[in-house]
Amino acid sequence: MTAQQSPNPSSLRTRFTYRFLRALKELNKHRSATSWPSYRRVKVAADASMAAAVKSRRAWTRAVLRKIRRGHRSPRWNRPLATRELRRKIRRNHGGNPRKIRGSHGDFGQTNELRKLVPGGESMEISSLLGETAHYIKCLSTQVQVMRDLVDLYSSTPTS
Amino acid sequence: MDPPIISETSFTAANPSSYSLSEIWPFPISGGGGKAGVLGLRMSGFGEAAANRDEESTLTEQSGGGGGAKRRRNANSEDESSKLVSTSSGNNDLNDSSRRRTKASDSVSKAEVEASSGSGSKPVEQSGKSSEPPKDYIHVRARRGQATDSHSLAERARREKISERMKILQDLVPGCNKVIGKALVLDEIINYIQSLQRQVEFLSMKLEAVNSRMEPTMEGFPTKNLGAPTFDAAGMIFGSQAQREYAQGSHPDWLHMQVGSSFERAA
Repeated sequence: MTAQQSPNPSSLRTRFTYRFLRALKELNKHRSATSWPSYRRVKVAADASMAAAVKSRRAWTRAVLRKIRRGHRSPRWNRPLATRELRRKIRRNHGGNPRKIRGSHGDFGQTNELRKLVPGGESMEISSLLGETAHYIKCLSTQVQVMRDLVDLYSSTPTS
Repeated sequence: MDPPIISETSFTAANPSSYSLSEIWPFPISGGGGKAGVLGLRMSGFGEAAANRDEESTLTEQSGGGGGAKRRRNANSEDESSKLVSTSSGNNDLNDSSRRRTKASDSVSKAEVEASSGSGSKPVEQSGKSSEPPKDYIHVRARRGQATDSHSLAERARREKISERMKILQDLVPGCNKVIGKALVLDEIINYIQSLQRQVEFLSMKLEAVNSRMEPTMEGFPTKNLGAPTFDAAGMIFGSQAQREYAQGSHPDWLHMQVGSSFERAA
């Protein structure tokens, strides 16, 4: 690897690409290990690599990592509720989260929709939700670009 | 604790020109005073202040030029009732700090007036004492007509933060700059995120399909193939032109390098 060709070895894109490729390789190795639909695994790998590349500095990456960790334990459909999750569910039902309530009658009606889209956005205050959204969009578009380039790369490869 | 009774009638005598009592200085300055009583009075004075809002602002304009405003300090007042009092010349609306300063320097009398907020909906924290004018101002970014109590300030700061972040988001999302209105901008943002997430989903399907067959050939991967990336299906289907433009940067040769090196390392 020559130095002048690599634009910025510590950029988010580089880190993400590196992690993602490693994850893909791992996926290829253990192909039939789990019962997931395998494109889900690719997607989870992409999300995890992106979140790991950002390094849990952001709330949304923490949420993504938490979700993946939870999802990894057992498949979603027959997983018993963990106690922490159960507690969270109870709290949610009782409306115990003041920030959520406060945000819900904020200026915009679409914030709740945004909350559902941004990982971890349910319990965020609105200004931090917008900040996280901005970062999330940046990361997501980086992810899309890298993945698209990878797809192009692989599909232009002559198959053996 | 005997709250001084402040009513309109008690002031109409003192200030024939003033239309109403709309504000009450909430803080007992010289030790005495009943705070609870004052607060109650403030509450009662409220609706009135809101009702007289327009009148107030015009009056402010006039009296600002004339310098006829008297801000009264009650520090050495004799009776309790004048301790908490009120406006003398119908000038209740002092939010601009410079205006406040002129008022303060003009003032000679004893009772201090609390400036009402311009919106009339919130009690305002007093920030200038008339006897020692310059030093105890609270410097806030409040234009005239804006409330200056701490809640309003915090709320305004929060709103500024939100709109600043909205602006950042608007720059991020392609085609969002022309959209006017927060709701529409948020719609655009939501659509954009959804399209990106769908693209990730779609691309991971493609990658999965392609990943299974790519590994054996990876070692002898010809490096020249990477020159012109073809944006076929993904770009066409989701039709985000900005993405495609962006992706055509100086990226591919670099990416290829990454791929090659990482696979060498892995193998």
